[in-house]
Parts: sequence; C-alpha cells; structure tokens
Amino acid sequence: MDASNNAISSQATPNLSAFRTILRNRHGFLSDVVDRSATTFGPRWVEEFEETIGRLFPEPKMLTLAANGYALFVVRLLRAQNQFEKDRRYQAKSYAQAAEEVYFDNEYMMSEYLPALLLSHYLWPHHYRQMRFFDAAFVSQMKLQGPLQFAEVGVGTGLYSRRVLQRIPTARGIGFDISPSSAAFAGTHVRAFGLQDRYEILLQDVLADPMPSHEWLICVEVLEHLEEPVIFLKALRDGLAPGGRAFITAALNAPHVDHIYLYERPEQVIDHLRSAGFTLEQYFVGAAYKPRTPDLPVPTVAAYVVT
Amino acid sequence: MTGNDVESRVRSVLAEVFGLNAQDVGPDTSTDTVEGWDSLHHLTVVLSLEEEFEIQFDDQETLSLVNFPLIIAVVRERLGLPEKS
Repeated sequence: MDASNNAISSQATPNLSAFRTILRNRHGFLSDVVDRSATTFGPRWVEEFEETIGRLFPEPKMLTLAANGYALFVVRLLRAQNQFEKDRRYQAKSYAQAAEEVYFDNEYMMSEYLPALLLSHYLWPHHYRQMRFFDAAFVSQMKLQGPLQFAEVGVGTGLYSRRVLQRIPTARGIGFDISPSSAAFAGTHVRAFGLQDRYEILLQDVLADPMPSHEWLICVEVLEHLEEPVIFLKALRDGLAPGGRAFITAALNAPHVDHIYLYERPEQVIDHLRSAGFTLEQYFVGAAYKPRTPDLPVPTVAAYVVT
Repeated sequence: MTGNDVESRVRSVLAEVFGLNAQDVGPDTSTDTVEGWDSLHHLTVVLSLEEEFEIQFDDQETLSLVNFPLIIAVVRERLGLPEKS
C-alpha cells in the first residue's frame, strides 16, 4: 500500500523520510501515520515535524529508538483503551504510585514515555490540533504584549515552552516539573533549538512549594495525573498574576499508565476550572478518532484559555 | 495441535479481521500488502489471535506480529510447538 505524500522525500525532508522508513520496516501498522498527517495538515506540519525530529533525534540510532518507543507506547495504549472501553474506569492508582512507576523511572521515561509523547503531538491529529489551537488562541495573544515572562507547570517534553520561545524572540520562560527525566529531556529539547538562554527548568512541586506569579501560564495534560485536580488548579490560579492568562489542558477518556483522574466530558474540566477561580475565555476539544460505535469512549483532548 | 492447525487458524483470523478470503492469506500477507492494517486493526489482530489460541502476547511480541510468517512463528512459540523446519 503506497499513499506517500509528495512533500516527503530523502532530499527535501531527510529526517521525516528516515522516520517513515523506520516505521515501515519495523512497525508496519504505523507505516501510514506520517503520510496521513502530512496530507491532513500540509506543508506547515511537514516543516515543523521535520525540524523537530531532526533536532531532537539527529542520529539514526536515536531516531530508531524514538520510533520503537513510540510503537511500544501505542500498543500499550491501545490495549489499555480496549480494557477501558469495558471497564469505563482508570486503573486504581495513587499519585505516589504513578510517580514511582513513571515519572521517576528514568529508563522508561527516556526510552519510551517522553519520546512517544513528543512524537504523539505530531502523529495524533487531536494532539497536533491542540498545538495549533495553542498557537492561535494563546501564543498569538502573547505576541501582542512584547517582552514577557511565562511559566509552564508540568513541562514534560518541553514542547509547548519551546513553541513559545521559538515564536516570540523576546519571551523568557521557566518550566516546573517533579520528574528529573522530564527536566533533562526538556532541557535537551530547548538546547537543541538554541533557546536555552531564555529558559530555566526547576525541579519543583508547585503544590508543596508555590511558584511566583506569572502573567502567562501553561499547563498541558497534568490534571488527569492528579488525585485532586481542583487543589492543583487553585495553586495555579494563585500563580497567575492579576490580568494574566493561562492555557490549561486535560486528557479525557485516555487510560494511560499514569492517568488517575477520569474526565469523561469537557464540561467536567470547566467545572473544575471555575471552582478554582478561573474564568473561561475559549476552549478546544479534539477526539483521537471516530468511535466504532457511538457509545464507546474515545481519547480526547480539551484545551482551555482562562483568566 | 499441529503446525497446520496453527496456520489454518491464523489464516482464518486474518481473513476475518480484514475481510479477505482465507485462501488469499499466506506468506505474503503483511502490513505492507493488506489495505487498512493500521494501529487500530493491529490491536484487533492481536486480540483476535489471543482469543483464538487462548494465549497472551507480551508487548514486544505484539509489536512483532506484522506478517503471516512472523505471526505463525510467535504463536507456535507461545503454544510450545517446535519451530517449523
């Protein structure tokens, strides 16, 4: 089956071309994901993904390991989703358990979780659409301000912070995370784009050790990792300066290994945001795929711009 | 269970999942040659094989089930059958 996208070639996009070849040769059930996304999202997607994997995984071996990690992540996730469709609940797990099993397992974080999470933001249509919403609804407003400071809580792969630093040359940022692996990966990410002079990463739990307030806050897919998201959201609200704006997202119906709090509908997140004192400006909801039958839960992302 | 039984049953599973004729499933059947063998269909293949043979694949095995010969080899190994000569 060959539905190759003409924009991808070994000359024009060597990294994407190599990545596609790895998937085709090693993980054939993922062989169409690159071309499908390129066709759906066009030249901007091709350019962004080509640059990202070229900078993050510059050696063939690194790219192969990232592709393998992504493939493993996907099959585990699909199995979990299959079980979730029957149970309609996440595996009972405490935050401490998830932290031990995931955030502090450096081997797992670096070989699978973080590379896969990064790649998913380009290969999963709902993740990529969320990033584009971030650009349109949040970064565009940041640009109007001129020089600014922003903070990202739960920096993960560093992707969202990097997008801000890349698009706003006068922006400076700080990233908070509890995972040393995330801090290392995000640090590498920002350095790979030459943006390290405007970004700092702190290993800090903002619940235990509140952060200074910022006018711009970013928090991507953290809420579902927590036992009590509203308590965390109140800490975020306290960290938002008067007149400030925050971009906060949640994953819904997505039974990842470290997801604890089950959001089934975007309105549940809105209720939590309002309980924490935020005012909703606009939001985006994107589903991963069309369900086989209308009653089945589908992994969904919901992103909110709040003040 | 014989090796032929395994081949026949794997043939039936793949035919069922992808809407093929069982006689058209063979050594060349793979993610490269079957239209629609994407990640969601891959999981269906894996779960159908697990149900058919009452076995459970680990994650690495799940990744490797990308063509008919490999599926046969992995299933035979799971069932404790000797490698095909």
